[in-house]
Amino acid sequence: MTTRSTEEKWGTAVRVLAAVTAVLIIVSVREAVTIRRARAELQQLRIERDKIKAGVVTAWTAQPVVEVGEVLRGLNTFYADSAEGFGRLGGLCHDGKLDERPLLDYLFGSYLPARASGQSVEVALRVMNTAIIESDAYRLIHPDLAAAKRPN
Amino acid sequence: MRWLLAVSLSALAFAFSATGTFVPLQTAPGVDYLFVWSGSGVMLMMAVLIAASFGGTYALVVRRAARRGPAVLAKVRTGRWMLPMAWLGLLTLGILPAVPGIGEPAAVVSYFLYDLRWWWVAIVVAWTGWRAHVVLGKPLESVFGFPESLSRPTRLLVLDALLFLVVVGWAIGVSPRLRFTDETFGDEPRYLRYCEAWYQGAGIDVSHNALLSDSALDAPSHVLRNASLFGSAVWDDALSLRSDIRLFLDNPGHFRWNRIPLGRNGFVTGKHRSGVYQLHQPGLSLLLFPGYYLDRHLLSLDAGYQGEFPANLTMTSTSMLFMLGASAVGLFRLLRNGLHSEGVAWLGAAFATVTFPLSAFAFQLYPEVPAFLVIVLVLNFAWFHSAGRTGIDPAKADRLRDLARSTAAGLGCGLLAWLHPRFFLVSALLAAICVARGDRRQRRCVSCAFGLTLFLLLGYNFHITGSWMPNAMYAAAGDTHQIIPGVIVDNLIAYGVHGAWGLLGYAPWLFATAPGLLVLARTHRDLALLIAGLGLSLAIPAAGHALNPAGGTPGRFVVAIVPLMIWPVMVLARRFWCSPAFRVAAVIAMVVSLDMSLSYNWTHVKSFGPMVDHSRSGWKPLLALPAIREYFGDMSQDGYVVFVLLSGALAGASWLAWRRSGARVAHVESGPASLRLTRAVVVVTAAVVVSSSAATRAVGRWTRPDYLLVDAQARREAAVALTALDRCRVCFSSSRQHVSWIWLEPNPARQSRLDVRQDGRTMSLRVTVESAEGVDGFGQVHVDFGDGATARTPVVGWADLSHAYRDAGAYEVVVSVQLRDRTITETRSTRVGGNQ
Repeated sequence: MTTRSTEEKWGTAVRVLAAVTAVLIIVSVREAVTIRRARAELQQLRIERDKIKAGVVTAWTAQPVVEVGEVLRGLNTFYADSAEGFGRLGGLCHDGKLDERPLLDYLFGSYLPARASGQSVEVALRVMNTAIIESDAYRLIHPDLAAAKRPN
Repeated sequence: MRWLLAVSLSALAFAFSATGTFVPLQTAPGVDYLFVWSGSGVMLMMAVLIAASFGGTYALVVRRAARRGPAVLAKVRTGRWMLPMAWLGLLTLGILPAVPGIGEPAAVVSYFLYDLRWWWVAIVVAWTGWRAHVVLGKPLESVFGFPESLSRPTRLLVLDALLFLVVVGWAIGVSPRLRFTDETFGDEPRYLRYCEAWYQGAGIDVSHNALLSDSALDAPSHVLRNASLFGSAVWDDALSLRSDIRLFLDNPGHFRWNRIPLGRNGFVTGKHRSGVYQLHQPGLSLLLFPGYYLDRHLLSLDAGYQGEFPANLTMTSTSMLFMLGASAVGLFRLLRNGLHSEGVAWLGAAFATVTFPLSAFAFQLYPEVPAFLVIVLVLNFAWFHSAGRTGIDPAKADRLRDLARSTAAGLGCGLLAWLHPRFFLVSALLAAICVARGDRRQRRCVSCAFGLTLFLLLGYNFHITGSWMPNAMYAAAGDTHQIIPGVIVDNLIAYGVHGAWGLLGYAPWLFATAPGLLVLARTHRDLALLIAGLGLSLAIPAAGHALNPAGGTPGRFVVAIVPLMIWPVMVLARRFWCSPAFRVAAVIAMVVSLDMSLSYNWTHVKSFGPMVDHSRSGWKPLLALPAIREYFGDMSQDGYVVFVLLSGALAGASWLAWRRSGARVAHVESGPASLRLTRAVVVVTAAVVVSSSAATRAVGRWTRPDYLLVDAQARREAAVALTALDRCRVCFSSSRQHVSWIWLEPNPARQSRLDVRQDGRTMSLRVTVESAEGVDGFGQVHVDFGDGATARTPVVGWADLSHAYRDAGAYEVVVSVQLRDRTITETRSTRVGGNQ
């Protein structure tokens, strides 16, 4: 193979490589622009999610403090009640420590969302009670009561 | 044919140990090694497999030889070319610690012959293949060699690309925990913090960095704002300098240039009592920034470390990986010029890059890898491409290219100083070499570029502290010591031979550095002095700072210079390769170094620097090195005698290399080549094993829990192997001549549970035995399915069985679970339906 033909071959290869590189650069830039657009959309979604979250909390905080306090007291009494409740000494503060799970699950998870959606206090309490009765922890302690009280 | 039979038997002996189970059980008095063979059935199968593969290979080579004439055929028929395979049998000795009464003192033997067994198998197979290739007249040369038509630059480019791929592939392949990690540790966040500050357009003041978790995903970057900040900083500093000079001249005795208050935890407040700056210089951040920008701007969606940086740092890690690959290529180009052999240079560069410590830094964000890259590039330019070397007439030289190269060399020297203050001396030495070896034009370019980068660095210090001293910020760091002269010598020695942080234990090839430098000095004294000088100009400031790099990877402070030592080592290897003993010692050092690199990277996490490896022997070369810190003080420290003997061995080897390298190469034939090599293998291997054992005994520990297979896994493997055999004929441990699964403790199985499921005529059984505290119980299960079929299976934790009944009907299934203390038998009636 002569030097000239080798040079021509390599010259062609380098030109092809340059063309491929140019195409890849264009594709990369376009991809980068697309990714930035996708990030902007994602950011918009995150803003909306945060707004919804903030809306939920705003609805909670709009509930009268006295009413929420009563529900909290009722929940505490129910946790301490050994006949129909959980029979836990100290109620929500078992062993001297606050058990935040019932508050999160029943007060913030059931009662307040029900109130925020416009339900009356009675209906919201019913929703919360149902959630408690259908919980695994309650069924374990009062299997008979859980079955009897289960709403049809 | 005799050779064929011999190597087959040898391979069968190796298969005996390789297919068996060899585990270290950690007990109160020490380690009890257990060996359980795989059973007569497996051994019979292995014998057939070995006979078929060896016989097939032999027949194939004989057939090829028949085409090359009767002389070659006769030579091939003897089977002597298969001789290397005969060494496989020796590897059986790797299970020596399990032989009753031996135990831990044979851990060194086990390390060399069992832990490293697959390296030896690969070498033996390659060696045998090479001998077959040679005896057949090298038929594969045309397949693997470079085509004649390939030009020199093309061949070089192919070798570069291949080396890059090998090094990058190795780094990715052997670092399962570290590859592309987003975990940052030690000083890594400091370098990333500059990148984030530049992304936000805050310059070098990190006090205003907004948290990534507080900013929007589509927030624009303000990189260009850094340029305007730089401009205004230059103007402010010029004014500040003018007033400083005036104040200094008014009252030279009391004027304080460095005006910053004492800093803490690597941060200082600026000279105007505003802004927060980091002690660490931003040289590495500059190199990482393109990758970081991609992660920050495009790829990462969440915040990582303390909400400051992107959670995903893939492109930032890739930048480091690319620099590692480029370092290997740079080293190859340097060695190619220095050793005048592309093959030797390629192997040397690949080996130095994939072994410890450089390979461990592929995914660590420290300035060491870029510093090494700059050192090899500048050294290559200074030594081989400067005008003083090439001797090209300056009038005929490509002016522009020369200008660019010289300027780049000067900038590279300056960049080293920007990477970390510990590179100051290396930077100055390299710049001096560039200046000394260049012509007038090159000197001017190098000096200007180097001077400019140094001036910028000093200006950077002035901007923050008010002082032009390069160590101004470190001087104001209240809780960070710079250099302690009193510890330099001790740490310098410890960098080599310390039992936890010493590099000789991790990369034994470094033992050949001193002899290699002496051999190199025979022909190129100035070059040997330069390499030694470069090594010391980094090692001395590093040793003055610390031995332990903040709990990170050992040798971090000197890693930028260590791989360069492959140059004198390769010179030594080329000079003495004709000696079979040297060849064997070199191969052992090479295999141990590669294995240590592989083992280290395989388990390495950034938060724990020393070696952790779950091996069977529990021994590592580090155990043969004493953990001494004061080498000239207390001589009663454990293993001091080992240090003295090791120093003596190094001095002796260096003296021998110096003496022998001056003599003419003379081949003294004392018998056939294969016999000499055989003798060398036996003598050198025995010497290495015996000396390592003696050193380990003197230091005081045969094994370390960090180097042993996790005990729970070892016991589980032992339980699986022992319960799989009905009656174990070849099962022994260090403490007992004959063992069975009844002997193995702890076995919490006291009860068992049976779950039966039926699907048509197929019945599935699950037998679960009692486990406790994460340890699975174990035993043996025997099932009579009621239709004449029986099954026997080991159970460790649980075991599944299934059986397909041929005919429909009612069956009584009897399941007997044999536990350590009793046998539980349970009977289940089952009715199998008509449908399949």
